[in-house]
Amino acid sequence: MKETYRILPVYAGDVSGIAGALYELGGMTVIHDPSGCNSTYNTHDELRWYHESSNIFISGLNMRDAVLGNDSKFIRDILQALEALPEKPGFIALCNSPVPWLNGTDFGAIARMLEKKTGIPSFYVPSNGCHDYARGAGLAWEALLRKFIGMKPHKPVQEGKGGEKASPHRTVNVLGMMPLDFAGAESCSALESLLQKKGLQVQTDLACGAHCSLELLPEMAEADVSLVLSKAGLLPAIYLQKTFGIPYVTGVPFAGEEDPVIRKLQGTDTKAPDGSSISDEGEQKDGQAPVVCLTEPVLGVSLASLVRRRTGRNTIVIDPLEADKNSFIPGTDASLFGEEEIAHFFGALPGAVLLCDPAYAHILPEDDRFRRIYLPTLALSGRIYRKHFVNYFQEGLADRLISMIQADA
Amino acid sequence: MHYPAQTPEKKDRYQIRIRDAVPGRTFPWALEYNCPVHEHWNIVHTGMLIPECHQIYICTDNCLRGVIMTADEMCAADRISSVMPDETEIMDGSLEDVTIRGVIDVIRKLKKKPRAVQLFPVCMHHFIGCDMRYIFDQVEKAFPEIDFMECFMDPIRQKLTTTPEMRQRFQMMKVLATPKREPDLTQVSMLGENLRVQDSDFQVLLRQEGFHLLQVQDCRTYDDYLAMGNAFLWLTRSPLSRYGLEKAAALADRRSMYLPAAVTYDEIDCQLYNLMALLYEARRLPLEMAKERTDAWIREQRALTEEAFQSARKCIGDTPVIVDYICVPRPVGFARLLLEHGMNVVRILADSISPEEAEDLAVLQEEHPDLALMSTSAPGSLAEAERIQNETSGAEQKEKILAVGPKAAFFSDSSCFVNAIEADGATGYMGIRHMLQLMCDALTRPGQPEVVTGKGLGLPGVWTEPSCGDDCTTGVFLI
Repeated sequence: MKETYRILPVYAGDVSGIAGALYELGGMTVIHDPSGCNSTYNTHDELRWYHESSNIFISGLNMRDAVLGNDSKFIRDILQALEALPEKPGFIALCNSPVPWLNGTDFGAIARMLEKKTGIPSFYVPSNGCHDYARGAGLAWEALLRKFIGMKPHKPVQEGKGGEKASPHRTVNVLGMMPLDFAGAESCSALESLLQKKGLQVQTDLACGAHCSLELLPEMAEADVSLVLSKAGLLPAIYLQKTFGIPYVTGVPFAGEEDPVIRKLQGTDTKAPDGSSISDEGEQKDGQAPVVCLTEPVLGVSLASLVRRRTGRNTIVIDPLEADKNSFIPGTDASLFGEEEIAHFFGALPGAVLLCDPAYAHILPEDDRFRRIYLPTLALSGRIYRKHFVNYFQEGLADRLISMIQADA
Repeated sequence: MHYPAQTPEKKDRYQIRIRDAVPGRTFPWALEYNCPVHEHWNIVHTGMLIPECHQIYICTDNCLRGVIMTADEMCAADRISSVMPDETEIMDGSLEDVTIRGVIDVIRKLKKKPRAVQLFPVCMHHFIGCDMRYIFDQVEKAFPEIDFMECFMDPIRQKLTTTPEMRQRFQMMKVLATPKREPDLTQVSMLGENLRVQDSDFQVLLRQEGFHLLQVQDCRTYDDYLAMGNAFLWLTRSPLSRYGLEKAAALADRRSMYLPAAVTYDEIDCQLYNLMALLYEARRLPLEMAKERTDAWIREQRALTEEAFQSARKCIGDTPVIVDYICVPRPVGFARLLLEHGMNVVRILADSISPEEAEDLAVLQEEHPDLALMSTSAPGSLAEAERIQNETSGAEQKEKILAVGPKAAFFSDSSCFVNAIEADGATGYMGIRHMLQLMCDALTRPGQPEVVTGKGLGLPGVWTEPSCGDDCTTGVFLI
């Protein structure tokens, strides 16, 4: 039964994705929920909460107000909370758990009322607690961009802007760089440094670091290219591509090698179309046990490409997040959702090297058919394996991974 | 350090003077900030106390995540399962069916069938009007050999009626009530307690009088747990367990007694007299003897406690003290006790004041009207936390604060803190001395306040046992 989870944890939910996506942008995020969503988020799905807090609150909805549709309390409470904040937030983002979705709360109208009363840009991120973090974060960033740069005069869309010329100073929008997917220490600065070394300048990072701010959002429309690092970054990338003609490249670049993601960002790869992925990089060879990437799919496709290029081994990329036609990552071989599907798949798979979160150990066959290399993610196993979080952009990481894989051969 | 004495003019008040406080919800229900202190227990931790008991939650992704990770962090992933209905199933009227089929499917998939299962439907089950009786009946019918505890994780009701914790604890005690058994006059059971009883007067008195105190923390099997129902007297100290204790004891035809966390000497004495009277009455022994023995105990304990205060005053001196409600169940009463013994309490952290503390509150309002009372969940508390962090980060010489409790540690950014919850399981005169000792230890052996982000203090888990998070012997970590 697809709905049951005997032992596997679920991925972080949409509300956590929304809060995490908007964390460093200086706004206020209000979760319409009875209790627990904020605690779950800041305990298990967020590493920044202790040292660098953010204006994230829950409404504490009770049964009476939910049944009677007492939205005025929700609005009044937000207005009062604003008075308590030392600085006016740059925006107000609303999201919610299941009950306000079930009772049909008109969040769009509430956001408009709040904006009118406070003058603070306000918007709703569609959510209901039923989806995963990648969807929540993607929708949050898309809503943010629509609000803050959606109304700017559009430059004419430039066809094929991304592949036209190679430039040593191309500017890049970094999309999808959340701790939920990239929890390794210094990941944000390591990526920036990696890009800089390759002549690429971070224009704006939607999620973290020195280039993450509301003030920098309008400049995203001027960037040469967007880098989609995770599934969560896909929606804002598509928005920027459709609205401003900014091409995007999907993939995680690794330091210390001729990385195809970097090549495409630099515009030196003339085959780079909009949304180009690195899924076609490296040849598959028959006759070898595959390397299976059961990770966030953009990372999985990137790891698979690296493995094929460096070892020539076959790869299988499995996307364990929600399947959705709007967020399909090219290069993904299968989309498996939930404990039962994944357990069934591995039950039938011959020996392989498996790259996955250690939480999957619970449902993998108990024999030694698989050699497992664990890549813990905050989005699945939370902070349990925090000592082992990976900074994918650091020097030597790719070599280390390849040598661990080859140790099996 | 700055402690604003004036009540803020803003409508969102995160801090008031004690003279303006009222028993009950002192700070109004409004938007809530959640500070990064998670050492107090939740329903998952409490439910895990019963051996051979499995927990099943039926809810959506966001709600499930918190409970599953709570269990995983305490290395108990194999004792919790979930059913996650999708959007369509929630909307199209099939939630009852998915809940029943899901629970049955989970139990069938378990490697070992549990003796008991705690079932947790959630807010949405109430909201869309699921027939919960039907759901529970169906799963009980499928597994008649399993004891099902009808719990809920429905915080949407907690502000208006009983809380999920209260109902869970009742269910945990209810299984002790059937079938009815002859009461064992040599045994007393401690029920609805997260922490093992330690350093408590009543525990010593029970032992001295020849009674055996049963605690869930000692149970190794589900049968051990069920045997706790045999005790003739059921006790609890937790206000969250009182509701369940009284209902379950009535069902089981047992004597019960609520021993709230008394802090003033008179209150402690009163509890001890009542308990001893009940014990002697049960054994048909003269009550005068009970009084004599209690008097002797009280005389000795009062003297020892006053001595402990003298020593503590020397150690603590005028150091500002902040008390939180996570560490001591009666923060107002405990602050009163410390102030009455010459300590420099400057702030109490609590979002509400229990009616049990009404008298303590009245005393403080009279004697120390300007004492600060701060909410830990008001939006303004977030700003206060940021202010303190900014003020203290990089400061060469921080003012020494003695933080009594993990929330006090966070909100003062102090490394001198008592890292304890629920009074560390201690009560009465011995409990006061235990807490004074912890306070002195905190000053002499500073710690890292960041540990307060760990969940379920006192339980095994990734915060106390590093091996717990590294036990993936089936594979290797990339880093």
